[in-house]
Amino acid sequence: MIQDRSVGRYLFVAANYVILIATSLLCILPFVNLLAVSFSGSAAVSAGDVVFWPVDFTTKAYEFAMTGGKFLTSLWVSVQRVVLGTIVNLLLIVLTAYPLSKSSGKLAGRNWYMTFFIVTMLFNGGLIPTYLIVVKTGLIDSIWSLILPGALPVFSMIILMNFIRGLPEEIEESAIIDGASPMQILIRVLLPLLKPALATVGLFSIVGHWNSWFDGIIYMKNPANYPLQSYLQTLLMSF
Amino acid sequence: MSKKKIALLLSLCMMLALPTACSNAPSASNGAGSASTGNEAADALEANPSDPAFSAYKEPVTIHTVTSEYPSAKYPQGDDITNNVWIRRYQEKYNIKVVTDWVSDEYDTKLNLAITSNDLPDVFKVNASQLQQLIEADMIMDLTEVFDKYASSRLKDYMKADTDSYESGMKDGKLYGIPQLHWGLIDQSDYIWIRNDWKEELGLKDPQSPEDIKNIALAFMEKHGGYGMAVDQTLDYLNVLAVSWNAHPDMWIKDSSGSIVYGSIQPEMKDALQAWAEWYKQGIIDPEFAIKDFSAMNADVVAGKVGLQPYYQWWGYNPGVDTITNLGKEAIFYPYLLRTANGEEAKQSISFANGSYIVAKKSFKHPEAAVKLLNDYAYIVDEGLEKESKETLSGLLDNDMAHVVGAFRVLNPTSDYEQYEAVSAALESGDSSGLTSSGMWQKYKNSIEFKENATPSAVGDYLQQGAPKSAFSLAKKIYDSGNYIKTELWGATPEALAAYGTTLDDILTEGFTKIIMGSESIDYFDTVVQNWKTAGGDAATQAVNEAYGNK
Amino acid sequence: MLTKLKQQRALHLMLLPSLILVFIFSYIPFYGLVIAFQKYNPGLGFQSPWVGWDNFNHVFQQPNFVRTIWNTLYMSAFKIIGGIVVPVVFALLLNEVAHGLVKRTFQTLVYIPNFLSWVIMAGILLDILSSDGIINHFLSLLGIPAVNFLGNPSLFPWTMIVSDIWKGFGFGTVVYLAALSGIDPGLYEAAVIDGAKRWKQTIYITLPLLMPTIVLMSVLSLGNVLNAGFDQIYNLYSPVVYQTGDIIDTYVYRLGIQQAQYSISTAVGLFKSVISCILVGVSYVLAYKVANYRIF
Repeated sequence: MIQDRSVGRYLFVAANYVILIATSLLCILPFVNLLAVSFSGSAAVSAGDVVFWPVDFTTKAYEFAMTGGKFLTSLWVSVQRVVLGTIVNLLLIVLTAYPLSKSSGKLAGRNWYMTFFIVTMLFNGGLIPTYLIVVKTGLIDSIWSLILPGALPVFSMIILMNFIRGLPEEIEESAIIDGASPMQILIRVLLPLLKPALATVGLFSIVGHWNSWFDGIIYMKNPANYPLQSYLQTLLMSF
Repeated sequence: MSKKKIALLLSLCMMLALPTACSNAPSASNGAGSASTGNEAADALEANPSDPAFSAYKEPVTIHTVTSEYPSAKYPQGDDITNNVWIRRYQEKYNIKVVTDWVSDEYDTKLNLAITSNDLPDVFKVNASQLQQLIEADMIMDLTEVFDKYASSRLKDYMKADTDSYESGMKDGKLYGIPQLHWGLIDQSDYIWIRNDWKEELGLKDPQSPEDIKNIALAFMEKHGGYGMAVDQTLDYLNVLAVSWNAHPDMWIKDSSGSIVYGSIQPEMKDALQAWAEWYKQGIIDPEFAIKDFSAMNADVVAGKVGLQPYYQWWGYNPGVDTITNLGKEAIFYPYLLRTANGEEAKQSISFANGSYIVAKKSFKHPEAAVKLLNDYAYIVDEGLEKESKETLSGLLDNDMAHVVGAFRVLNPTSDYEQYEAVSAALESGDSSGLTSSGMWQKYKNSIEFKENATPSAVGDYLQQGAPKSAFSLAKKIYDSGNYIKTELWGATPEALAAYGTTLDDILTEGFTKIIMGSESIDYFDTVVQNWKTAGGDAATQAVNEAYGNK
Repeated sequence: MLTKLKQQRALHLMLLPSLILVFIFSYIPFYGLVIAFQKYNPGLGFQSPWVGWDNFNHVFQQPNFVRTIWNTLYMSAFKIIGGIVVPVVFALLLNEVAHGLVKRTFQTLVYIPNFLSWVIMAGILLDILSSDGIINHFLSLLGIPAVNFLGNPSLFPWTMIVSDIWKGFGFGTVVYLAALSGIDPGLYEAAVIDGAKRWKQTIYITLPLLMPTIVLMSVLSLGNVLNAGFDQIYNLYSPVVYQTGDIIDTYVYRLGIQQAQYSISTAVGLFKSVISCILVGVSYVLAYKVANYRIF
């Protein structure tokens, strides 16, 4: 960008940094508090003495969580879930968003497809029938039960689709003239341009898979297969 | 729920950046693989038919069950909830193989899903509404005869000690759910707990009336500042005091005409509220109680900000342990019985205490096997100290192993009463030979431990049983003299009432809070009651009368 | 023509995996919605007795249900507005930071609260908003008397709105920054040559180009207008603020707490879905007719 060296600009930049730093601090303080609490003695915590620095420093809580090796097992399940789940999500997001970014002239039935997906954002059948499907498809108690039911995050797909629509059309047209197939266009031409958008929706998938816990408790028969958040949730509920 | 532990767990879970060098943890261990449904067509005969309650099988019998974790249990290396000292005992002693199909901490949800997908285990525990639904759907077995033939006399005595709970597992005279019972009604008394060093420092007498409680609070406030009494937003703890005004909130009681009415809307409750509104105005009741949850309420006690708390018999466990740790043994609180305005001991409220039932799937071939396991549990807990070796018993009961048995136990509903009698006798005489169960031993040891060393972790048992002013010493008096009112709703909640969830009580809590805080006058009580009635209270009252009216 | 058909076939094929998975895991379960019209008994499954509109009536006849609809709309309206304005402004400010690493650092920091569940966040908020918490301590330094953020019925909704925006704005920021990064730098160069100041560039170039994303996010969040945030409110409210703080989801939760009332919650869920569907549909048409945006 072109450099602007006026006094006003300097003032703006300074003020801007103050705002950004203040806001960021506001966002990380809860986490700092959490860390301080986790390293503090329980009586001090119960009495509400801990703010941003541990009181009666101890690592007992961490030792407790680590005992029995369950922590590491469920961490590994979580890592698998995040990696596999994000790959599947991204794959389907890209494969869906690209055709839907076309106008209905270029993809017959495009609006029907779109409606088909959007309906699932607004309606859902509920816990029971979804569970029965997971049982019927034989996914129960396997890691795929945590991945396939939400394989296509429609929200992320729409974000990416809009991003593709924002790209200049000439890029694609020149590739078509060169005789590239849609798949080739998608992989060779579009994907490199979509990196920032993919990073964004990828982040959502990672966080989504990392944070979800209810499906783990419902679909896994044995706590040994719980992802970390489900395991932590069970610990939470028992105190 | 300890905030500290939550905090640590969550900060742990945020450590995305942990080096993933933990490749030695295989994920999908096939531990709970779908074991084939035990189809023992051939009748497994019993080794000794003359002793049906305890005899072993000649051929192995399999029971499929389901359960939830008991996280505070400390298993020996390699054991877990599906494979532990109990499971091995069932196998060795009775030739009964217990297979756990799944373990879940959303037990009720998961069980409902299993019921829906018709994937029932053989024997499992259910709550009252699931019991009704399963009977209605004709999915569980009539256990009347099996229980009659196979239950040990001890187990039958449990049921006799709480026949109301026993009958709540029946429908049309048939037993479908064996109630798991509880540790005893002695657990339910209400107290006012008072910080002892403050009380002695000011030379205050034991409270003989609500007025005395008020004056103690005012004296504490004058000396130590702050507010006088810790309570929480649900009003559950303030309601502990209600018996002093002869009010029985949250309970269904008989009125003078013999019909069942809701305790929270009776005129006595209005008297209590009027007093509390006055107390709030005087600054006795925590000015912020309306936004304090359970742990926020206790935090002020632990921090030494307040010296009075209406509470139950387990004050010593929580917040007692933290309070002693934080403030030292002088800051101990002692319980006092609640009295009415004219100094009489208040009539306590006793509610229905049975939470779960043991049921068997309709097609299960060996329901009697489950009854044998129930007999065994009762035997171990009540007679184990005399008849089994110390090691065996400790393995089965200590480190919370006593609680990992899921559906396979019924509690002795007189156990806390008997335990207190034995422990207090032993403490008095110094002769511990009368301690016949391991629970008694623990309470006895901890009571001495706290008396001698003021160890904070022992204060719970001490205040419950061992202290000169212990909670159970007061409760026993109440229990023996029968100075209590039992809820009329002794069993499953009628559907017409359950369909409102907590929304009916919420109307009262919301309105009562306004009255206490002075944003509405005491006359508002009648409006609140009217709202409650039109919102469904009248319909619910009718349903309760239909279900329990003529007993 | 033939190549065009071929092209199309490839596009349809690309959609196939998603279509199949979504059909299996989202569409087939739709039959479960019938329990909104049944008295569901897990043992009887979907053969439970039919009760018509009883479940809907049971909820809608509760005298306190109406206020929960109003509270829900009130809070979610402001949450939606704030949830758009704040991240857009923050993304624009962040976009002024030239250094890529610094930009990414800020972006990551404000995203952190998304990792914390409301259970934890509520514990922290209860601490810092209490009468002797940090915020009131700070206010007292300024001579302002203690404020009861969570216990005052007229303040409670705003405490919810502000804390929700605070916790969630990192999410929107990420989306808007991605959209900003897609803007062609050439446009700014042309503007500078035309003598446009930075402020003007923002008004005339950046915002219009960001508009489609803003409209898209708004329409999508309209689908949530009847979800005012169960986890947040459930963990922070108390009877004293039911008047203004009780929302549909918390109310239905308390209604069903004694029995697992799948029928009731399905009925209310269905009601909410229909309303959201109408809102999203209307706003889609409006955006298309009025502003000529094709959102989906």
